[in-house]
Amino acid sequence: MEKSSNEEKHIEQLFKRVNIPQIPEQQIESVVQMAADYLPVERKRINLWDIAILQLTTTSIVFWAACAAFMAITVLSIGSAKSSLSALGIFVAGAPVPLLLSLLEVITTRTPAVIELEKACKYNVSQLYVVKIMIGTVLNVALLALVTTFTSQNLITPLKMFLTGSTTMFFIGFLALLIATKFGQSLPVMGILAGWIIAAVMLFQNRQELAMMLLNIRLLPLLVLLGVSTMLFIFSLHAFSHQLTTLDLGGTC
Amino acid sequence: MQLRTQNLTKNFGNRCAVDHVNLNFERGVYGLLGPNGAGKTTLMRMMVGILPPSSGKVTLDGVTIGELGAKYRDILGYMPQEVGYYRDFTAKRFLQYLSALKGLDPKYANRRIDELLDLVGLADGKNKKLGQFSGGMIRRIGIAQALLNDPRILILDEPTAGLDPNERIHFRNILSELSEERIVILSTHIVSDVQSIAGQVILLKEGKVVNCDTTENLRHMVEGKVWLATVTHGELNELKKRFPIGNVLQKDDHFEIRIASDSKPLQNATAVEPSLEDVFIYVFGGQAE
Repeated sequence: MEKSSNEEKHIEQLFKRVNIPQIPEQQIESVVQMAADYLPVERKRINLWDIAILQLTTTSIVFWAACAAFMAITVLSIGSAKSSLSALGIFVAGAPVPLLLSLLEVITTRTPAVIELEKACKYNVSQLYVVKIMIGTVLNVALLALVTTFTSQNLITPLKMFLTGSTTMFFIGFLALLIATKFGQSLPVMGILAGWIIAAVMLFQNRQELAMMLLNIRLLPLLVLLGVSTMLFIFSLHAFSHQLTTLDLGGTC
Repeated sequence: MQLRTQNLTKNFGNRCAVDHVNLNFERGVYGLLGPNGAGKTTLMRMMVGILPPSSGKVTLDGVTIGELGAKYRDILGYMPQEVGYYRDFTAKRFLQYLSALKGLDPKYANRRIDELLDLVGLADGKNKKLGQFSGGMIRRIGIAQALLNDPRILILDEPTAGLDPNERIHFRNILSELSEERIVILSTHIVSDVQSIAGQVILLKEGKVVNCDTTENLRHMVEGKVWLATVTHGELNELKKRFPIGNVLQKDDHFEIRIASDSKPLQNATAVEPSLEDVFIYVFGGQAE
């Protein structure tokens, strides 16, 4: 007991020897206030999927109606196609239409005023465009699966058709993501999609031997191609999801 | 907390929209007052960080907002001149969407959204689609979204445009309460909005800061330079060519007018105590709202 009391005295004396500056209460208050000013409200680290789900909800009824119309027209056209080559032509040429529709929807609903509001948040506009492309691509593949299901009786090899369409879409999706992250705009992407549709129509009308080659690709190489294009798409998504947390203030549109 | 603009300049081609603006903001309400095209919106957009300046910088406690990046956005609330929205969104969904883009925790955001919808008087319409909202209601949604993250810095571009008189008073009261602990900067060309709440008024003309002072000091600035006179229709037309004219009040066959002039404009003119509106007329030479 006595030992500890002596120690306390010794510490007390040491403290007395050291000159501890008196900090005015006002100064403490101002420092605490400054810290409080920078203390933001509760935050959640948002990820790619959160943003994707949110973006999905911004989709208008008109878009869903247009997708339904696309499906109905494609199914009817394939159903009334004179040959399996024509059916394939319709399928391949029409494959990126839903993605094109989703980008058109972005242009019409995301007005400059909406962009200004979104720009003032934490995530920049190019990132939001990219999310839209991602959603568009996945939706597109889902729609192609539905079209394949409804037209399976009219197609010689429905599985092949679906794999061809999906490969195309994932590859286009990969290209679109690259372009969108580079330019932050959807117009170049729309150019690619429109170009694809025109090229496919021309190919099936004028170069039927090439179209036949496409029709005759075996299942295994087709699966490999699908795997490669899917990997490229996932890779670009992964790379993009890391970009999502970085913010570039100013000039993001 | 100190927000500063240092030699902030923005050129659009040959036109200089904001010209070497140096301003210093600390806690309180600042009214950015100027006629249309004075550079208010451009200045605010640069301060928010959505428009890169041609030269100069915006700093928060000495650090540029570019360096602060997302940290700056965490403590910033912004309401643009035109509030954009998705027509198919309900009011609540739209605020949830923007909360997520601001990185707010969903639980906090939902609680905050209910509070804010109540604050702006839209609690009853929270499940109504924005496409069905009136212009005034959209403005109120714009105000609510700016407050979602409980910002320390609030930048509002023409927040009261399109609001009816009751809504404007309500909004001014909200701002007064908020200003106790944050920097509030609002731009307007409606003098009465600034007069009632802004501690400091910044007069902006052709991209340059003409003056930055308290309402009281600005009024002192034009003391003895504001005149009340009774004139005929012919005299009024003549005076309009020579002096900036403020309020014109018709009384039977003559007009009672307020004139901004350094010297006595008419024999029967009497000097009157100036209002902030008179300051606006004196500085900008136009008609105030």
